Amino acid sequence: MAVKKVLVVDDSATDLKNLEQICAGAGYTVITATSGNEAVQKVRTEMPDAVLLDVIMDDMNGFQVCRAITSDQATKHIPVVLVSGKGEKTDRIWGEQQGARAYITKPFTAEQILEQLRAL
Amino acid sequence: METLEPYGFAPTPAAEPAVVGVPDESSEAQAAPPAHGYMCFRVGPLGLLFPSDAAREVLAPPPVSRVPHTAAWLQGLANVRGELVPVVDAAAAFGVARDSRARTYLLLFGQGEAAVGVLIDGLPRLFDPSAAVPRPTPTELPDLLAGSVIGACEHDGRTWLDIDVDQLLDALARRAPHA
Repeated sequence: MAVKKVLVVDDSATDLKNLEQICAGAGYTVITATSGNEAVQKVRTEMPDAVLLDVIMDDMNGFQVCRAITSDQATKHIPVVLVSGKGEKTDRIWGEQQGARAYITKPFTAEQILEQLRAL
Repeated sequence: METLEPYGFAPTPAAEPAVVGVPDESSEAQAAPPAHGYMCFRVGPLGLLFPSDAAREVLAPPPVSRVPHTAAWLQGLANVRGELVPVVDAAAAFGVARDSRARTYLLLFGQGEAAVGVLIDGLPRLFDPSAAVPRPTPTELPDLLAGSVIGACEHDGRTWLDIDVDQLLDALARRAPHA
């Protein structure tokens, strides 16, 4: 499936802007969310083709958001890529168990993000 | 590729495994969304099931600070990214011996002030209850666990206890202040 619309989720304004610019610069339509709850809502209303999801957030962490997306019949087809400063092996495994399609560790390069979006 | 420790299941290549999402790094890129509503973890000889949305995160055990006048199984408080989280040694709480072959992990339940970390043996895994055989709930259970078990099933010769996480955390919270 060709990804056209990407939901970028990060509670860091800097990281959010960076990801937004990377995706928009490559021609993707970008929508954003700054919290886990907002992300879950926007996935349901906007139905993006992919989600780039930060892990460490205050209300719901990225793992919980990922599980909410992948366990919902209406949204479980939407691939989730976790993008996090948490780079332990346990984080990758836990993310996989919550249904994440891939895991990118911060700091990342634009090419890493775009390559992953192309691979979905 | 680094291999994580095995989970202790008897090898049953012909059978459909109940436990899925095997933590093998080679499968990371092809991970399928979880199709099951349960996860499982082990504490010594005990196998426990819980709803997959009950747990928040799994971590390598962080340093803990002991809290005076609390039960021995309450290891203390850990600082998890600025959040103080009580850490429960589940093996000690349930009176069983830890599996010394398995690495210890901290499984986090709850958010904010309700957050509790439980030390478990090995990583939690996804569990498909449809591939397991329902069994009567064992009559002899650890005291702290007994009121929280709401069912049981068997897979690969191991009994898995379905636990009500809220009840278990409530029982732990009520008993923790007693040294």
